[in-house]
Amino acid sequence: MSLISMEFLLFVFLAVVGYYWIPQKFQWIWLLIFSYIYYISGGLQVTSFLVFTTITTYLGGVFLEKISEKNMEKQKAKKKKKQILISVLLLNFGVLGVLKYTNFAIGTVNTLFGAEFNTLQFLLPLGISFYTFQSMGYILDIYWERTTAEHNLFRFALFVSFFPQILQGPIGRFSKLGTQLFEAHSLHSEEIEQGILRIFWGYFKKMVLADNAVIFVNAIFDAPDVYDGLAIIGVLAYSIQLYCDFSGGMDVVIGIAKLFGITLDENFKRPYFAISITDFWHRWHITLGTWMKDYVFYPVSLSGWMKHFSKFSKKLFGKQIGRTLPICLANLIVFLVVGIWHGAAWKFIIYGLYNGLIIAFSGLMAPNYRKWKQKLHIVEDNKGFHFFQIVRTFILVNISWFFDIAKDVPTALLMMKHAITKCNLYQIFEIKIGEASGTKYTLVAILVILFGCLAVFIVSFLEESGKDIAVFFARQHWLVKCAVYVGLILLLPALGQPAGEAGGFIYAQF
Amino acid sequence: MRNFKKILLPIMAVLILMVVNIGMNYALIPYSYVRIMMHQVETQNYDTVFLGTSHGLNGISPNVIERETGAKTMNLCLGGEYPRDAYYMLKKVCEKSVPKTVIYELDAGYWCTEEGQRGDFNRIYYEMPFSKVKVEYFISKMLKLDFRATLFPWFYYRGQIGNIKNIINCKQSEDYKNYGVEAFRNEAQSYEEGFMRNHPVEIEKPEEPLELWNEKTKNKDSFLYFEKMASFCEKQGITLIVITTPVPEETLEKYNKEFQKADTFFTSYLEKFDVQYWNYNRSERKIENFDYSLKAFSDYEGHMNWEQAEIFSAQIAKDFL
Repeated sequence: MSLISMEFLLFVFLAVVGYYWIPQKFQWIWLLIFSYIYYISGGLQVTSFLVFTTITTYLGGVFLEKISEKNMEKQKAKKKKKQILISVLLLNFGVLGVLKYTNFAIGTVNTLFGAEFNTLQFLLPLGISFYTFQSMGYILDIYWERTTAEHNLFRFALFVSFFPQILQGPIGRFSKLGTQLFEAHSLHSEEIEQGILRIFWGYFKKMVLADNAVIFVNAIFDAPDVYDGLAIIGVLAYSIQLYCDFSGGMDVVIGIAKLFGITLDENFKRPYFAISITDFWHRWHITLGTWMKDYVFYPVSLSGWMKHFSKFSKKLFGKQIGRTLPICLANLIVFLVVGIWHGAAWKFIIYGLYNGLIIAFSGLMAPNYRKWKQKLHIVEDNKGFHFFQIVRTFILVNISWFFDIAKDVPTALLMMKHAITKCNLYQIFEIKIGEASGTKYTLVAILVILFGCLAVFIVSFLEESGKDIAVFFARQHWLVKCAVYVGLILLLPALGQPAGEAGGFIYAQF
Repeated sequence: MRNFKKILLPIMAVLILMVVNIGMNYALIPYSYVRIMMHQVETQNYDTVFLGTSHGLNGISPNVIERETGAKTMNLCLGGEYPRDAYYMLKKVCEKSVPKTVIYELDAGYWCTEEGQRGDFNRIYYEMPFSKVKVEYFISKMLKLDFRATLFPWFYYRGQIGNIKNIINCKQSEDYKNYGVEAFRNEAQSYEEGFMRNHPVEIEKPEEPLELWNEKTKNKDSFLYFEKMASFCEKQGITLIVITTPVPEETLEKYNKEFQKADTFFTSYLEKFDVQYWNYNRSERKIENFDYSLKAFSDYEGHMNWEQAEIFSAQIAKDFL
C-alpha cells in the first residue's frame, strides 16, 4: 500500500477514527491489527519474515531477562546470555544478509573468478532493514540491561510492526516508542492539526520537489554521455530529490504517528546546514546514525582488540595520534556498515568508506586545523567562516552522492570528471518534461524546483534559527491556517509529478 | 467559540477545496469521447459490445458490423483500457441491458505491463454515472492510485492550462450538451460512427512505444480480470469472443518471434475458457483487400486508418456470422 495512494489515506482515516472511538485500553490492539493489515497488504508470504523476527527477538528478550533474574553463577550467566544474543543476532541479520546480499556476493564471485553462478530470486520483505535494526537494537539493549524485556508478545509485535514507520523508519528505541505505543491517548485537536500539516508538508516535499527533480536526475544519470555538461546539475538535482524524498517521507510518517498521539524520533535536522561531515551525519538519517553509534561504534571502540590497537598505536605514533587512530578505525567500520546497509553494490561500499575516510581524516587533522585557524585568525563564530563550512560540507556531500546515484563506480567517476571538465547548462532544456502528456514544460519544472527549494530553505532557515514552525502556525488566525492547508493541498496536483513517472519513496525499498 | 473554530477550519478547507476542484475539472479536463460512450451505455441497449484497447477503438466500426450482422453494436474500446477496466465497463453496460455477444480486443502488451495512470482510463471513472459498478470500480482501481488521480481528476490535465478558453467554450457549446462529435474532428482523426477514425496523413510513422508480449512480466491483474469477465459472461449467457487486430507487415516481420509467442500463449490460455480466439495476424486469417502495409496504419503499433477499419470490421462481421 503506497503512502501516496488513496487507499492509504482512507486506511489512515479509518485507523485514526477507530483509535479514538474504542476504549483507550484497546488502542494498542487496534494499532497492532492495522499494522498487520498494512503489512499483509504487501503480500502474505513476506509477512512470515516479520513474524519470524518478532518471535525470535521476543523470545530472546524474555530469555535474556530470565537469566539475569536467576541465581546463576555470574560467569555462566554471562556466557549463556552471550549465546542467546549471538543466536538472535545471527538469525535475524542472517535473514537480512541472505535476502539482500546473496546476489551481490554471487555477482562479485562471478566477476572475480570468472564463475557463472546464477543469481537467485528472493522475496524482499518490505522495510526489512528498518524492522531488523529496530528489533536488534531492542535485544542489544536488553543484553546490556538498558531496558527491560516486553513480556507480552502482541505488544512487542506492535513495536516491530507499527505501520507508519515500518517501511522507511525512523528506527525507534523500545524505551521511548514502546511506552508511547502502549499508553492511552486522548484526542487532542492540536496534535491532529500538527499531524495533518506535517503530512501535507511531507507530500509537498516529495511530490513537488523530489518528483520534479527525479526526472532531471534520471535523464542525466541514465545517459551520462548525452548530458555530459550537466553532471553538476544532475548531482544537485539528486541532492534535492534524495533529501525531499526521504525527509518528505519522514514528515508523512511522523505526521501520521502524531495523529495517534505518538511522537516518533526526528530523522532529519536540516542536514544541508551541516558544517562538517560528522555534523551532517548528526542531521541526516539521525536514527540510523545513533543506532550505528550505540550498537556498532561504541562496542567496536570499547572492545578488547581495539584497546590493544590503541596501546599499539600510542607506542608507535605517540599519544595524540594513538588516541585518535582507534576512533578513526571505528568510524571507518561504522561507515562501511552504513554503506553496506544502503545497498548490495560496490558503489554503496565506496560511498560509506568515503564518508568514513573524511571523518577519520578530519579527526586526525583536528589539531592541525586548530593551529591553522589560530594562525589565520579565524574565529569559529565568524558568520563568513560558518558559511564557508556549510558550502564545503555541501560540496563534500554532493561528491558522495555521485556514488549513490550513478549506476556503478566507473560511471560515478566519469560524472565527476564531467563535472570538472565539461559544463553546458543549456543542455537542461534538451530534457523534455511533459512530452508523454502532449505538453512540454521543462522550464516550468525548473521554476517549480527553484521556488519549492526556496520554500523549504525558508522553513529550514527559520527552524535553524530556533523558531518552532508548528507553534508559530498554531498561533495563526484560523483563516490563515485554512489558506495554508488549501494552498498546500492544491499545490500537490498542480505542481507535482505523477507517481507513475516519478516512482515511490526511495527508502521504502530498504 | 474555540470549538466552533476548530470545526469550522476543516469544513471551510474542504468546502474551498471542493469548489476549486469542481472549477478546475470544468476548466482543464477537455471533452472526451468517453462521455459519449457513457451516455450511450446509459441510454441504449446493445446486442454486441466491443471492449479493448486503442487498436479496437481505431479498428472497429460498429456501424459496419451493425449493417452486416443486424445486431446493434457498440465500440467501448479505449486507449489504456486494461482487462480490469473492460470488466467494469461490461458490468456497467449490463446494468442497462445484457448484450448477446462481447468481443474483447486483445493487445498482448496490456497483459504484461503495469496498469498506467495515463491514457483515457481515468475518464472511465470520471465520466461513469454514479452506480454500484462505479463504487466497485473505485474500490478495485481508483483506491490503489495516487490520491491526486482520484481526488483531483484535473491532475492529469494540468498541461491544458493554455487551452482553458477553448475547453470552456467547448463545454458551453450545443455540440457538447448534445453529446456531439465536432470537438474531435481534426486533420488526423475524428470520432464518427462510434469509433475513432484515423485519417491518412503524411507524417513519419512512430515506432515507439511498442509493448510486446513478455511472459516473464505477466500482469496478474490482467489475467484475473479477464477471467472475471469470462465468468461474468458465462453467468449472464453472453458469448465471449477474443480478437487481435492486424498490425502492419513491417511490424510483424520485425517482431515475428514475439507475435508468434503471444499467439501460441493466448491460443492455449483461451482454450481453457472455451473462448474463441481470432488473431488476425495469423496467415489463415488474412483479410482480402486489406492493406497490410505501414501506409495504411498511423504507426508501427497497428492503429489502422479508417478505410482499413471498415474492411476489417466487415471481415469480423463475416466471421461472426
